[in-house]
Amino acid sequence: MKYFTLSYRLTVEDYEEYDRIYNRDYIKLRLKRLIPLYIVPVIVCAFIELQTAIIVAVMALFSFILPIIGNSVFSKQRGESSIFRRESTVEFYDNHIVTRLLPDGNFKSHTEKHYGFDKINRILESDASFYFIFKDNSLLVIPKRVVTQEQYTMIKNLIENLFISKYFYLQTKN
Amino acid sequence: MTPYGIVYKDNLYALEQSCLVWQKKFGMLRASALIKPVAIEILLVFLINGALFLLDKENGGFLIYTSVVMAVCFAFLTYFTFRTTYVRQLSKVNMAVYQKQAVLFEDRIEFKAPYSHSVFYYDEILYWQEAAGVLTIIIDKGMIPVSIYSSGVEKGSYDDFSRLFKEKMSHMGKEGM
Repeated sequence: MKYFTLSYRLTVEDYEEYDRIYNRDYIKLRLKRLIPLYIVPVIVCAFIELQTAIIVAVMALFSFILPIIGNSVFSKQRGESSIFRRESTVEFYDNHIVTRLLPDGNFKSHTEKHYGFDKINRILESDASFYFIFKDNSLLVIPKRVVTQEQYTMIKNLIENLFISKYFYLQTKN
Repeated sequence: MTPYGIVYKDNLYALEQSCLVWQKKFGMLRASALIKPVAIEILLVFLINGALFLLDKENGGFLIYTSVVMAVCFAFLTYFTFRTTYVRQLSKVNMAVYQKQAVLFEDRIEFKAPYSHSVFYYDEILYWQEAAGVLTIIIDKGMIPVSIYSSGVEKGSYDDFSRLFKEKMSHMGKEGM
């Protein structure tokens, strides 16, 4: 049974929020791991030789910032995607979701994907969007700006009834 | 043209190879994307070195060759971090292994899997490449490319498919590598 259809055009900003939250959580995680991994060797090296300690510290800094640079390069690349210039539709059924990237005047190519509910790995919600992360790691972004109050309630009910253990609310601010 | 199809299975090796091609052509493994982080790293190494030298002119700072070795190491670190961490991560995005069908038509190529159906027109394909038995088709700068591994073909002939695809692309004036 079909619940509802959403039709919208994604913007780069819809992904930016996800990237920002992802990067923030990533930094927190890396900081937790960095302390024992790098800070202790840096302190130990500092007692032996200052230069070695600085080399280790610089390495720690690089291993910390490189993935963040990588994320920003990838975000920039994704920003050039045609998905931001095309209409997408998302259909919610009682046991699956269908996403379509539609053809338009500029692009004839199109894709359609069916995701059973069993393929949902996580559902994240932020102030601005819902993020459905599937088991193949693909990401479906549903901006709240395109969702009516009734559709929002239906999505929330769906989450509460079926996916409560897979659901997280992302705090936009610390 | 009579449609020609093959049935194949995705393969992680082929996906990684395709993602490498994609990132080298349009992403973080392009020279222009690597220059910035590597330049920052090299600058940082030499700034720290200079500062240490100014603090203690007798014993401070690294030897110049140590600085150069560090800079080279960081450049490699950057490349391999991007290559291993990201490309592998990106290829895993599409890792679900299904039996798929790829069919060449007069003006388009269609991919059918149990849960997806994609139609790509030849004139909208950005880039394609065939290397080490992997046919990579990039349709969008921001989307995971399609990869067909010659050893993963279960029905039909990979060679015929590849030849027909190349003929089509050549006809469109889109020469690959």
